[in-house]
Amino acid sequence: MNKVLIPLSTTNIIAMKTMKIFFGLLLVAANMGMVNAQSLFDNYAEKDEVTSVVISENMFRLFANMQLVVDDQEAQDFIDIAKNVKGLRVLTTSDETIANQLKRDAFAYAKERKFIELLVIKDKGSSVYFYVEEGRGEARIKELLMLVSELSEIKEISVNGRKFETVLLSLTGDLDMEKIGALANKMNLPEELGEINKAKRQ
Amino acid sequence: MSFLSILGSGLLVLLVSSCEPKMTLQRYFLSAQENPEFSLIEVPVSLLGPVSENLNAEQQQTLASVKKVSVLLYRNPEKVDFIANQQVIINEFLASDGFEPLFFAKMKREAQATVMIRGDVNQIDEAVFFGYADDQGFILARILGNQMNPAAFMQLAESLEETNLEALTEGVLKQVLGETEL
Repeated sequence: MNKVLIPLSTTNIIAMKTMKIFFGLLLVAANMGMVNAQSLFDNYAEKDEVTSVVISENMFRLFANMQLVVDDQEAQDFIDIAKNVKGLRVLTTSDETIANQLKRDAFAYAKERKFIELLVIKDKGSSVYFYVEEGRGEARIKELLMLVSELSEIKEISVNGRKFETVLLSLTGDLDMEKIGALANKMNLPEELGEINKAKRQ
Repeated sequence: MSFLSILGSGLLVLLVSSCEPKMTLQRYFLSAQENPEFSLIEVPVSLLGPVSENLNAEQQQTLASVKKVSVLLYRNPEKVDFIANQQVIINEFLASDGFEPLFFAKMKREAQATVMIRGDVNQIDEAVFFGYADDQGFILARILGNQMNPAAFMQLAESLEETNLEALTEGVLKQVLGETEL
């Protein structure tokens, strides 16, 4: 058994430093390649023509704690899901250029992260897309991405001066799909979110 | 020569910027107090003394967890540039002052609403609300306390009978209005 003591020579130090730099670069490269929901949303939130809402994990915990009277299933569902939400982000815009870009980026994001297209609803001139990242267990999801956009050919005919809007919503956490409807109702979220329940029946 | 001068000016900038105290929520409130265009409403919780006599121990404890409520208001539709400028300053120090965002909403460039806290969500030590409208002004509200529990406040509000609540608001309003009239 020969014990070889390696002296901390200059060559070793150089090798260690090279390794460090190499791993550092690797880390940077990995970060750059990964698109996350935060950067997707932050990019658009800053724009002047965009309306943005961000609700943090703690706010959801607060909502769950403040639900004092639990007298129906919906209230209970709301508490169950609110406790497991990591965050909610919503972007809304009626600027056509930004809306188109947002749509492209959202689809690209869903594709890159290998989200599953859960449901597409085309109704009253608007389309609603649901993409999910599956979580552990049945009917559990890690991220839900919802895109609401109006069909461009309908846009030419402005109905009663109503403003057409494109909405992108992301909900992250450990979510029970069946309870997302309760969240939409209690928090005044876009009503289209409740449509996710339809996906179960399909 | 030119390298040295760049280095020199760089050092100078560093020195000057580090000498200037960093803006914080506290400093902002203090400096705004000196500006007559701002209105400041401060409600020390001791004002609620007469109401708290009717509360049980738990409710009194809840009430006692709040130390001070301060509301800073700026409203002047003519000073749009100033308002926009303040929005940048306020957002900057809120982001760097150790607050955790609970809620952030902005409507295009027209309006903003932000809620931030310091402490755990069930034991809040400080809460800030910032509301902004680009053509009107802004409001900055700060609640200072010690491990405030929002759920306990909900319970307190529910248990307070209407008459109690009326007396409370009336008492506070009288004090606040009385103070501002003086």
